[in-house]
Amino acid sequence: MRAALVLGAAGLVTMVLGTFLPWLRSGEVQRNSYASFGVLRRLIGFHGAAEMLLRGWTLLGAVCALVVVLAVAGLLRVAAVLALVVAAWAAAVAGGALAHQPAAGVRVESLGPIVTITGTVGITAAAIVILISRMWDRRASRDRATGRAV
Amino acid sequence: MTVPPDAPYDPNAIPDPHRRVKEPPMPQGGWVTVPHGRTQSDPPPYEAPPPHQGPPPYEGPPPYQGPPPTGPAPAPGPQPGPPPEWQTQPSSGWQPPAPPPGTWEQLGPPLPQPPRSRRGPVVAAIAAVALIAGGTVSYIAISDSHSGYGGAATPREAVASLVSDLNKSDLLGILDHLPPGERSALLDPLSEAIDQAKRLRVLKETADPAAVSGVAVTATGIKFASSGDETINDHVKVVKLAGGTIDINADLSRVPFTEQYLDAVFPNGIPASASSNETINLAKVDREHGPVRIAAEKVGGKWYPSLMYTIADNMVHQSGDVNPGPSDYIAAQGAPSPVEAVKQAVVALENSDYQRLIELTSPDELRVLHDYGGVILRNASPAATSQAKVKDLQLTTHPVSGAVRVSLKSITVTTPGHETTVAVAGNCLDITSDGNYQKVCANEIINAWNADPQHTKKLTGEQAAALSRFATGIPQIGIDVTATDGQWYLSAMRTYMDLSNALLEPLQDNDLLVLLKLFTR
Repeated sequence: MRAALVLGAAGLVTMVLGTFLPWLRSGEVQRNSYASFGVLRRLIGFHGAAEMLLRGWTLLGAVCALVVVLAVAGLLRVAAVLALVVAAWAAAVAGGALAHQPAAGVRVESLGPIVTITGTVGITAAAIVILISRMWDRRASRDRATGRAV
Repeated sequence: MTVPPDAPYDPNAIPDPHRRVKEPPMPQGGWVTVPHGRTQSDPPPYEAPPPHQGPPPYEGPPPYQGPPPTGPAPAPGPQPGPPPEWQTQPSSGWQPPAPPPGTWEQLGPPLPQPPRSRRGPVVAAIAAVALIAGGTVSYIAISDSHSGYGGAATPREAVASLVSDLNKSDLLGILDHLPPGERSALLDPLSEAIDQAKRLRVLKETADPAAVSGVAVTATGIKFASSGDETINDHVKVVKLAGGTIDINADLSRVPFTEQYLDAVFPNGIPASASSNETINLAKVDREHGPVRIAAEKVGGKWYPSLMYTIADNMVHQSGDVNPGPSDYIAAQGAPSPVEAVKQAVVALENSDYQRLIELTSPDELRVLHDYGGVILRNASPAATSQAKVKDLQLTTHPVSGAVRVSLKSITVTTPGHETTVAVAGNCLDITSDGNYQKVCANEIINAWNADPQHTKKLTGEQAAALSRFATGIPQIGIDVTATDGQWYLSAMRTYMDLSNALLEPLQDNDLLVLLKLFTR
């Protein structure tokens, strides 16, 4: 369990770090995910699924902090579920960016999205381990209470 | 004293030595161990009572057994056992009487203090650090998302910032410098045009897009004219460049065209003239023709370098005209619907009413036309009186990116003694001229081509199919109209940029290349 917590924490840090690494290159200028989405929103706007995914992107760090707070407060299952949602969100955005074709002098830098995806993999693994572990603990506790052999 | 067997554990109760207490199940996490260490300030050691065996197992709420016995309350004796390590189970039945206030501390030696958990402060510290870190990250993220060019405090700063991005070849940064109205009008169609070019195999999908324009501009040592900025009106100023150099390197071979496209357009290879390198010495230009003028527009209290105002200002100065004054301003006055806007524009054109045309132009996109309205009207040559009159005009609308496109449904034009009606019918045109009806479809064009003796080669199946699809795009051409403050205005820039998109949209795969080969060879 402790290893899963460490892995999850490392995954969160890596994911957030990845969002600050280069995501977009325009000429000689590199932009992180926040600056990239900001300028693209002003220039061409986002529509549909992209708009939905990117609407609260700047709050990613705050949501990660909430995951940590929930975890240290002992609400591990809730933290794990929220972490899974955050990881899926970040992975979808980073994957979408990587799949995007370069256009008009602008291309995606792979460093930021790849580091972000690496973080999401760690978070996902940790969250799954925590959820399974908690499920087993709960079942064992219930069996003990009912006197059934574990 | 009799204690109900299922009563909650009372730390003040005198233990019954004959009573057997069942070992309760160990709670999850085990029992908390009470430390035995004492400090020197502690009271004398307490003679331990019989070891406590733990609380009785909880077996549900006890049956109600009436009120507690009356009579004098039992005298509180010395504390006989360790402090409780579990919560008293709530019960709706008998409750032990609460000890008299103030007596607890006075009786017997003080109990050893339960160990203070160090988990709480650690949790709080971690949570606080996480929240501060998360807040900081979000603050930086929000700052970064607004970190693009959001206008400058002065026109000079706006131009200097543009030059900086120009030197870094930062296309996003350069486009971000445009005033919001111009930016929106230019970029939506441009983005669509690049997508079309890739879809139709004109541009490579995987090419280095930094060279899409094929033009690299570098500015060095830019100096502003000492005469200061020129004020056109309260929201437009002209910045003059009087020193430095601008290198323009245009190279068509750097544009990521596909091999098929180059083969179709340049069958003998790209000519040497397709690349050029020019250096403009701004000081020399200043001496010979006056300073290079770049106009900046104030939008929302911030200054942006404006493409449209720069073009207008340079045209006015090259023609020897004077800057527009307040009396030259023509206020925007739109129409209540997209169709009505286009109909009013057609009537204005018919009557050579250029003032009404300017009024109908989008003030967001082409504010410059309203500011320079008087100058334009003074320089507009009077149109030849046309005898053609639009008798009837039917239009249709459909949404496009950021606008509504108004396309032709049917038009009836009369000239003295003649009347012609053209109606769009799917991919064909129904033309009725002085009572003679004719249907014109792509097939008719193809047949006419093949029947023409000047065309020695018949159209291939591939060419005929491409031509047929191209013809279906013609009825899609229209005028883009946008809304501002509930009024509809013509969006001239967007219409121009969207023209090729409307024509190219029905084409598939290498249709465009086939057509280019057909018409260039």
